[in-house]
Amino acid sequence: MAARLSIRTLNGNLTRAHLPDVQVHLALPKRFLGAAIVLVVCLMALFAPQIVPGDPSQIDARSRLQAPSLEHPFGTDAFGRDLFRRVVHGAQPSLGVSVFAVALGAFPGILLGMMAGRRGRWLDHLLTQVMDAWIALPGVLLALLLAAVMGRSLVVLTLALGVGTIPMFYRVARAETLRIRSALYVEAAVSLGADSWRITRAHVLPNIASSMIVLCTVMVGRMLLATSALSFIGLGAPPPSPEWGGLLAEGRTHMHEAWWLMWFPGLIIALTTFGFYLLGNSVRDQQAGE
Amino acid sequence: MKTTRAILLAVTALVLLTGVLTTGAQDNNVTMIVTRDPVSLDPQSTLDPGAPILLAYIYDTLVYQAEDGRILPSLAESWTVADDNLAITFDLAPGVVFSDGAPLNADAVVYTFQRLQEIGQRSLIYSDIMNVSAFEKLDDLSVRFHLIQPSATLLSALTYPYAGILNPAAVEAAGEAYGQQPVGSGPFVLDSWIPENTLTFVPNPLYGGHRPWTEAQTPPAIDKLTVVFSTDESARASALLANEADIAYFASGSQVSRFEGSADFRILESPGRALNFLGFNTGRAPFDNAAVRRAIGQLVNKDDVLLLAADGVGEVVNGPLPPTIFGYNPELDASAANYDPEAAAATLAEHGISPEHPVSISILTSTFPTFSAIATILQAELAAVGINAEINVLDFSAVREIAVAGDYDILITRYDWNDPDVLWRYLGTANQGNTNRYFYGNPDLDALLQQGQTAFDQDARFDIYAEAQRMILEDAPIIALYMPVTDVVVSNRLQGVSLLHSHVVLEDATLAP
Repeated sequence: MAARLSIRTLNGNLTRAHLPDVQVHLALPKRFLGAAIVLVVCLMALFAPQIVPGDPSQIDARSRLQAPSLEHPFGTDAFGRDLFRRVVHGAQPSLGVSVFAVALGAFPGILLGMMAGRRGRWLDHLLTQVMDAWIALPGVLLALLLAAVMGRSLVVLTLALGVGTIPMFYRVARAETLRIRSALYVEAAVSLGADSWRITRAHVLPNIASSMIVLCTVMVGRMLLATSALSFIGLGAPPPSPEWGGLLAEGRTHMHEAWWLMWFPGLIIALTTFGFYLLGNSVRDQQAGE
Repeated sequence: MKTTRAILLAVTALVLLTGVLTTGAQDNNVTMIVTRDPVSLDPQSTLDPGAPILLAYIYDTLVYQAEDGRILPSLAESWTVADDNLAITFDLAPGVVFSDGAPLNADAVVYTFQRLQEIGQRSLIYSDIMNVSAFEKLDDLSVRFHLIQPSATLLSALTYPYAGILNPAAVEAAGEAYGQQPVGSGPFVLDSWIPENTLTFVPNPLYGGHRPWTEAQTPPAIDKLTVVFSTDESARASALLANEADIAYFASGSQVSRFEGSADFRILESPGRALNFLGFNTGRAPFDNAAVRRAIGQLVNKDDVLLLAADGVGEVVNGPLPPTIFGYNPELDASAANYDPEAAAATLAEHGISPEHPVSISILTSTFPTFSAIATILQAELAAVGINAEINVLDFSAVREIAVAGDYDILITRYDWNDPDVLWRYLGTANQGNTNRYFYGNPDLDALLQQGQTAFDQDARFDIYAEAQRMILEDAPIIALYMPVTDVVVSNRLQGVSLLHSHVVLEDATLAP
């Protein structure tokens, strides 16, 4: 009992006395690191053909399953394709799916959330019920259904993931709208005769924008993981797309003799997700500071 | 504190118990991993190439084919062919019974093949059986097959488990469900079947060792054979290494190499009779044109395909027959469309296909190991000449449906057969919509292949098939890739195991304690 108590005290001391300092020291590299990772990945997505020229699907039987070397920094896969080139070229489909999926979820989600938060009453009830039911439907199931009906493609993948995120955006947008609606200055604006549209545009939207941006960055990271997971179970981008989850899944067959096939795609997925989380976190911290 | 300790103790005990139970459960049971669920164990209504290796546990055939190709007696102790080649009389071995105790006699044989004729074109041996005009029971143990025309292929067709002898009473009693409740005279009986998960077989207590290729005179010594399914070769290898399985099939070398030189496992190799090939949908553009099809044959680097898809395990084949089938003729290689990508690109450009004027096609294949890798290689090679291919990898029955409906351009598939008559089965006009999924029909080829079915003189037959192969190479409805070799890795815990045409013979198997 005594030991436990002392730890708790120590914890308490630490938190109170040192944490603010620690936070200041961590915040800068955190923000920098997150932004740097995201920037690098975005550059890879935009300029892959310039960074590593050549066709990422080019098969070369002679350089099959080669370990990482100067010529092939990430090694080569079972078809003799350069893994570094595939990872760099894979940034576009991987990131593309995630960003478009988030956009697909964010627009209707935020719009409906604001409508529900602003109007309230029966519309709010109805939408919230629908969204609650929606959230109960697992994203993977939705992806399976869509893939079964529409076939396997990047568009289907984006659609499946994007539609699944609508409720999250809806819920946050609605809560934020409700919070701002009840703020004193908004009530003042109402009493001054401002119409509903003006309140939304001038007060609600600017105030929820930053929290929505945070949500978006965090969701991009999450979508990236989801894309990889779906690709891994064979619902992702069709071959020969170098989408990262697909690379990971392809690497599984030969992982016993070629560790690099799963290691590098896994690493890039983990790093990118981490980068987006850091970025989202630092944006949120900054807001909290303000 | 006392509670915590009690919980800890309970958990430890449970863990220990689990360990004891799992190791104990393995004792005299054999687990085998195969590629896929056979869908049905009715030998007459399955075209699944995965079925024969399992059907052979349940059913016996009149004759069997040894590894060296000779056709030898099995249920039929002997047979005599009439002088005019229009009748074959089989004399059955006495004393063989089905697993339910019913005698295996002439009535069962007659019933089996009459049922096959009635059931229609769902079996690979259908055309051979349709050549029989009557099955005549001479006495309880002899049956005469009256043929419509002399057949050089009937006996080899009868060696397949598709020609397994059925128990009439069991078939009638099960009705539609017979495919899930098979009854045969083989060394094992089906105990339970969880579709797409596990099949379990137990020894047939009435098995008396009538199979001439095994020594056992009693039911198998193992208690249970569990068959599980996995299309993932690395998962199969891992299951073996984790002692979760004793036997596993492999279609490519990379996983098998994990067992080379191992003290705990050995590798059995079955000389292949199979051919992996590309088939074209000749019923629609762009592959309705023989020149375009031949160009694809020149575009495909078969050495690369063998190396990349199967880790080099197998043999590149140019003509439509692999070296292990009668009729294989290396002289034909000269007329094959050999690897020449420049010539291929030029031909395709003449027909309006080039990177500047690309076309889109679909490649269809099944989840069979190596097939999706072949598709990936083909896709890259096609992309270089302006053919954008979409790959559809589906399960066997879905592939059959789509292929028969003609909703594909290139099919990556294989055949596994012991006679050049396989060309008739896969390319004969009469087999369109069944085994001929290429919408290919060539009356000249049909005539030759039908001649081959009735030619008994080996030299004449060889010449007929040489001409047929030349015709197929010219028209290129299919492009041979390579002859695969099936490797079966067996745990050394299990002794007395052999292979007979990819079927794992377990009659003589014993397990180390």
